[in-house]
Amino acid sequence: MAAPATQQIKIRCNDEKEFTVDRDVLERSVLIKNMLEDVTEQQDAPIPLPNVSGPVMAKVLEYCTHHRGEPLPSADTEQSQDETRKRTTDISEWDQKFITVDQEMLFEIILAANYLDIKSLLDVGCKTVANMIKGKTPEEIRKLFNIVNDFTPEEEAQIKKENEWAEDR
Amino acid sequence: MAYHPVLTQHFDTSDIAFTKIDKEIAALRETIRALHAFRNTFTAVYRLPPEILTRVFSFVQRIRADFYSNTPTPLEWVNVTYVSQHWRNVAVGSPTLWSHISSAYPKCAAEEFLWRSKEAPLSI
Repeated sequence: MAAPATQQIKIRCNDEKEFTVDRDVLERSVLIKNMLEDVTEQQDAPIPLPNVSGPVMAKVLEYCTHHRGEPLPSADTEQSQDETRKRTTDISEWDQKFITVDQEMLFEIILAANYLDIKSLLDVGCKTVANMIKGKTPEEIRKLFNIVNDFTPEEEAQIKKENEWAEDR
Repeated sequence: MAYHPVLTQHFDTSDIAFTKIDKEIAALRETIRALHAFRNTFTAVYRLPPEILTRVFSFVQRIRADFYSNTPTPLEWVNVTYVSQHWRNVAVGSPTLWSHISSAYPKCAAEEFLWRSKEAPLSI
């Protein structure tokens, strides 16, 4: 018996790039899922996504397609600080390869995941940035992200004081 | 050697007031610092809103804790507060980051954590 046809949904990015995607793939995004649930009639017009560009959406869709069918995290998990603490910091091998992109794209993916409300992708992005930061000195972190020291003398003095208690870390 | 007109004006004056010059240096330093802060706003990482940056910081904290497994959460993650004014404001202004306090922390560190955790539920 043939599998039932999957509903296809059209989306339009802020650069006019359009994608036609299986509904279950798009429903990885809680934002789009809620939008689709609110629409009762068949809609031919593409869903506008004004905060995401075509190239970033292509990456997001690659992630959503790979993870289609997996359970979505519950809202309760998000609300519990303890659960947040317990959330593993590991990233799967596929996700690691997927997120191996330049910094510009990495931050764009994080912002898109936040806007589209795709918690698992947001976490993959945030964990990747955290992995880039871990074990580095403040100067090394600045160099990594092209940040410069902009502390006031008063803040520098406070930091120096804090360094005394943070030294035995 | 040619000096900047502002400086020449000072040197030409017989009663060079050190305090005046020091004030100017401080003002110039503040201008440079403000320019550094402005420059930072153009970096890619600054596009992340505070709530996402806090999420990143919580993972930095967690990764180090995972690494040290059974030992108390080390303080190395606090380095994120020494990177820039914006990062410091975001981290220090996120009470949940400071709500996990270890009895192994130095007293002054524990006090600072407690103060920064504000109303967040504590885990000790």
